[in-house]
Amino acid sequence: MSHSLFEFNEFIRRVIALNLPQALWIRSELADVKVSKGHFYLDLVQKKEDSEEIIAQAQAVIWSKNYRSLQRKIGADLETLLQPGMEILFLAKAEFHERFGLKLMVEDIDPSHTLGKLEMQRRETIRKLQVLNLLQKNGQLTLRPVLQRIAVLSSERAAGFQDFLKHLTGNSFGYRFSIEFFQVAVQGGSVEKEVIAQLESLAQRQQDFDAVVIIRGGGARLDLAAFDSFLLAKTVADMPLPVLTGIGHDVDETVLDLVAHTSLKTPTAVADFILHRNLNYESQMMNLGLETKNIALRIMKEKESRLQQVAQLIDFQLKSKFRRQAQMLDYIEKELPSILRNRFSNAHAQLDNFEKIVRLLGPEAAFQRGFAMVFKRGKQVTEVAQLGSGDEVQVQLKKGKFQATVKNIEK
Amino acid sequence: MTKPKSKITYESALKELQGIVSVLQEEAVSMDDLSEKVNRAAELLKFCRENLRETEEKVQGLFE
Repeated sequence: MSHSLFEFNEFIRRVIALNLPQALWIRSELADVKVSKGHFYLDLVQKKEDSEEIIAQAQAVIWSKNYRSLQRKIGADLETLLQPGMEILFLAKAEFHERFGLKLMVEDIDPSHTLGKLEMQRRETIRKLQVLNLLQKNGQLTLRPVLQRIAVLSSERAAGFQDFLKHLTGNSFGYRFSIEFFQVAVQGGSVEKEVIAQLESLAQRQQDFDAVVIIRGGGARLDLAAFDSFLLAKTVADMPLPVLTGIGHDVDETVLDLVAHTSLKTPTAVADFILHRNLNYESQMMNLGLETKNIALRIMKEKESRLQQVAQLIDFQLKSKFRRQAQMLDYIEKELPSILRNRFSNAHAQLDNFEKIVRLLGPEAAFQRGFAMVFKRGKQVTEVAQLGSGDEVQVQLKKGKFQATVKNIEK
Repeated sequence: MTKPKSKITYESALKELQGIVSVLQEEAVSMDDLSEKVNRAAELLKFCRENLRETEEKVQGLFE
């Protein structure tokens, strides 16, 4: 007796349906996820521990109706949960279809299992980075005091990127930026690969930028799982440029935040950080300028007052010099007439004296004392020897003269 | 003593003036030269006064 394939498959369907009537909680890694008409088709896989060898494999489906109710329950994390590579815990019922074979019909997913798993992976990643001394490596790079040439890694469509751009370029301080945009996926399975590729090409253009900024808007915790990647963290740590992150979350830090030079909560916060850093530098420069001006003013004031002192001194010296000169001229002018007066009065006195002597020695004084003067033929006779007996002489006395004849000469 | 006036400096004029005053005081000038010396002294005195006044006017207010 033989069975048709359909009969055989129908038998298996019944066996499975009878023996596995309840849905069961199963954990498995997702190898691949495909979406078609709102239904999610999952390739499930289990590998041997620490190996790539596959030891179990199955297919599962989330019907669009179930997906919608899961979305209401789990929220945005659901999309991230359903990424290749994720390990998920799900409630599923095995169903065998005569034509399509065995499929697990997913009814529910427990996100906490994946989160826990991811958290463990995250801790392990951090530990590895610590051992390799990579956690502080990028942070030890010197961040310029002024950040102007910025490489931004983000998704053009991400709201966070637009916020960042608006905040930075619309700043009220008038700072200008040269922003170069590098498109990367900020969610989904290609985040790690795309971000690493862009960072590696950026590392070649180190001279063109002051800093690298990695941003994305807010998102569910699981969305951020891509930023916990060890390879991505290592690439950031090894970057020759300081990396600033604003990965849009409030609660936990991603591993990327830990290795970044500076991590901020949101893209807007990164923009603020950059603006404040530039503002700080500008105000330092302004203070220095002000200080320089004050010092210059003080020096000028000092010099000016010193000059004023010198001027006063010169003025004083000048005035006293003029005074001394004027006094000297005054003195000479006053002294000259008195010198001259003395000179003239001396000359007069001398002449007076001569006059007196002349008068004293003159004949009038002799006549007064009774002497006479004798003249012979108009010539004065001073000795007897000039006379002869019988000579006619004139004798002058005081107040008159007379004629006489010489007789009896005695010698 | 026959130097042209324009070439006299204040200092040389003052020096000459003081010389004349001192020879006059010592009565070392003969009466014949007296009037010439006194005229010269008056001339030098006038020159010094004018020079001093001009200089003073020139520097007036420069350092106030």
